[in-house]
Amino acid sequence: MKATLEMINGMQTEGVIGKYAIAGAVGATFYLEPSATADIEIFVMLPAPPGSSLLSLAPIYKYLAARGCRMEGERIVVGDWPVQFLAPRNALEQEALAEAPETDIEGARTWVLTAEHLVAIALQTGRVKDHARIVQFFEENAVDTDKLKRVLMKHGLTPKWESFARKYLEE
Amino acid sequence: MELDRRKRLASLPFSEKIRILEKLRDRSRTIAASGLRKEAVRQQMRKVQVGRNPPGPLHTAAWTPRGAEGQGGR
Repeated sequence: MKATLEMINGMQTEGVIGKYAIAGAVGATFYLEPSATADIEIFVMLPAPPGSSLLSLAPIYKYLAARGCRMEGERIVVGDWPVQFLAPRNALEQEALAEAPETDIEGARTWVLTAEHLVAIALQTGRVKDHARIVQFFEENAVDTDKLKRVLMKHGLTPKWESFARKYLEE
Repeated sequence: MELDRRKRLASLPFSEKIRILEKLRDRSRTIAASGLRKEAVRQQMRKVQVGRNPPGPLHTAAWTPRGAEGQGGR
């Protein structure tokens, strides 16, 4: 993982990407017990190319390919981890990335989404594995519920949350 | 007890949890490469299909009961 993050940090230093943050199962592992995952999901801020408002992940792939990284489906293998780079698709994901706190893994600087944003994004995504992860966050008291309520309300997810809570969290 | 174990794992430093994650990933890769998981899933699914499908390889496409072939007016 360290080699992966160092390569991504190098890309950030050279201005190919802006802030990035680890999401998905690896991000959840910051707060929960480790659970098997095949890849790292990374939200990434992309600088708009001069004279254009269109954002593209192409510069990332070009940078990494030039350093020997190879594509594996929609992921690119950086170090020994397949990485999926994702540009934030909506206000919630943009906020999650902007507010992600800094940490380090084996001495490599990095950022991880907050537990509350991971839960809100999982709720929004809504796959079975996302729902299971939300339950894990609550079982392990890994969420600041007031903060989560604010995030859900701000992004119009309260009705979805109430339905989820009735189904999965009420005894 | 299970929840205690999970909480204990959750309280480990992030770097240590990442090392566990990497071991889990490597184990999954090994199992995937060996085809063991596919075979185990096949066997489990066969158990569910006992009495409905004929023995042999798993049928994922629509299955025609024995003897029904050729009865479509051809």
